[in-house]
Amino acid sequence: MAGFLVRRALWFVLTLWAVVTLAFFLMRAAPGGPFSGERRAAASVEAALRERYHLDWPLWKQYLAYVGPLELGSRGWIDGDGSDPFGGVLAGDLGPSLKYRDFSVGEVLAQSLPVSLELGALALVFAVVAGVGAGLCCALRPGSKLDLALHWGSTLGVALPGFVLASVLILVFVFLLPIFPVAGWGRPSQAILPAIALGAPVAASIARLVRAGMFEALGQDYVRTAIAKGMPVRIVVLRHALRQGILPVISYLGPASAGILTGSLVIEKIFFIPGTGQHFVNSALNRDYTLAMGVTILYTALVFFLNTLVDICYTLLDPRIPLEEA
Amino acid sequence: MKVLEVRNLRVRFDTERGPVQAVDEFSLDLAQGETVALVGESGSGKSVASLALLGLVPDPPGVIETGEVLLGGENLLAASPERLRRVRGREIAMVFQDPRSALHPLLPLGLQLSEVLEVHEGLSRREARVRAAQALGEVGLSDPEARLDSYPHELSGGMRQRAMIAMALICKPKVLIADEPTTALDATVQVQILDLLRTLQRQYGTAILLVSHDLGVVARIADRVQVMYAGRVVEVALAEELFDRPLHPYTRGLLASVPRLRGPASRRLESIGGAPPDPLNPSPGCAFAPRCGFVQEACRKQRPPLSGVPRAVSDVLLVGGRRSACFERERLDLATPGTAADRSAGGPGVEEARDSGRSRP
Repeated sequence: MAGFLVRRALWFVLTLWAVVTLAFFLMRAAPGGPFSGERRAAASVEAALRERYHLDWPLWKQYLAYVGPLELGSRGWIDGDGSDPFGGVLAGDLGPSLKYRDFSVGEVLAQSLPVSLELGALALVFAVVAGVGAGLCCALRPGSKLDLALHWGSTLGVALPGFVLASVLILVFVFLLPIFPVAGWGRPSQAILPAIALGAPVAASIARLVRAGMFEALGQDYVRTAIAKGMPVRIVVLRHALRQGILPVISYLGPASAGILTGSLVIEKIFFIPGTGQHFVNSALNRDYTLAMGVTILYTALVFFLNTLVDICYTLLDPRIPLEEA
Repeated sequence: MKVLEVRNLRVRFDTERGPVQAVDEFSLDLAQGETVALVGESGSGKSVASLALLGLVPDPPGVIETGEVLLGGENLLAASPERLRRVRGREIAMVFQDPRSALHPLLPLGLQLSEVLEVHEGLSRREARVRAAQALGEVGLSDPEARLDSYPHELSGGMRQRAMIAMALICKPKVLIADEPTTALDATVQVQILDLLRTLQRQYGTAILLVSHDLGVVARIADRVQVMYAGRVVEVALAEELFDRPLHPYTRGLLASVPRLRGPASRRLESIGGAPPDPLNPSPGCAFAPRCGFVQEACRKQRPPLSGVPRAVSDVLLVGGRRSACFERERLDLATPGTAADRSAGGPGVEEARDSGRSRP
């Protein structure tokens, strides 16, 4: 376990470095810049800003200043003077936002990330509960009306984009049946519709995976053994069949969680939720280099963390798979 | 003492191409402590018949049409699902062919054994674990306490089947149905497992219904044998009698196709010519007629009944007596090399297997 975590940590550093480097140069390759909007500031102001954020430096030097440790900068190794706004990613400083100039990237993310995480967690819980429940219902009554209805519903759920579902939900539960508030964030009632809209496509996929997985598991010899041992249906299904049938869902949960977190931008926009999703798009459009980098690093870390978590869960559920090879 | 009685069991499979009579007119008696073997080739209905006893035939496509499975006078086929569930594992238990797939790969052995006790005897997890460790010890697993936390993939094939047997016998059932219990195992391990079954049978007085295609296995542990062909029982005999004096041409063919240890090494194995009948188009006559060397006109038109054989040794010993389903068995009996002189010239390998099995203490 310890060896696995150390190896994962090393891979994480390597992955992060590759992502940072790639993202840094790709961002700079895009035309335009953070201060070249439609309403341009005076040339002298722009020059001052460019100097302040080192945009006048050669690219390799900017890269070092962004990544490099603080000490190098303050010692003047790359023309730093201690008041440099870049502390360096290695020191845990994501730099200043070029758009929201009163905030550092860290501050911007610290404000919005908890909102996105909360929404994502709610959506994920909904997706797992609804998906596994629906999948089990289907698998236990194959060919029944319930199975057909849920199967049809899950196909629709997979095919239907979240924003369409969100619009339908708003139409039905806000305007036709005024149960939920239309938008905003902070009260529990405001979280329900966006969590459902965000989680529904994932729930649909999970339902299909559980249905297929359970069909397979219920046909296995060891399930017949459990029945021959006189196990009650509840134990046969939940302990013997689901143990196997849930494995594909576990594999799927890593990418699915990442999808929920990154996919939340549309839902956040529809429901006016101050999450990270807005920065994901806006920072790129604004050429807010540092914020875009910060969001990229954040999502890289999240996806990496979630995948590692899934791998650990997987080996806990299936003892035949050694963690060392996961 | 009779523990299990099966009367006139009929199982049908509704396949896409039409109904198939998988088991027809199947009857069986099983007394305490005895071993009855169901013998036949793949598709003869022996496995389906054994699964039907516990209501384990997959439905659909399987349908149990008629029949009674009497356990202590109670008809299990008419019992409620809940009642049947309580019989399974506690009064009638099963051991399956391949312990690799029949044990749950993701659950520790201890749980797979202890849950049986928790469900049937209401023991706590802790008490059940103690009993599970004892059970694993009784089937010869070393360090049984540590084995409770092992997973099936950490055990060898033989150990897995031992664990499977421990699991089946943990509630001391009256009847153990063993469906090809050694087929997936190495030859040396097979012998060990069969000996283990015999030992435990003596200890608990369990009746064993052994389902096998392997006459060597049957010779080693069966007291009585029912030979099945195309879903029907074609011969019933004491094991010794069956090997000495088969009274159905199919049994005779089966015995002839067993390799012999003594006798000329170059002798080719005999096989039964032809193929099993198409289950979708059963003939009105004897199902074995197209492959039979003794076939007469009557065999093709009318199905020979399973009837008692006069002057059979087992008449006194066997419930219902020695039976076979063949019109020509008198002729067959005369033609069968079953005398002592014949055997010394190259008795069938099954005899050797049986001799060595029986001579063990």
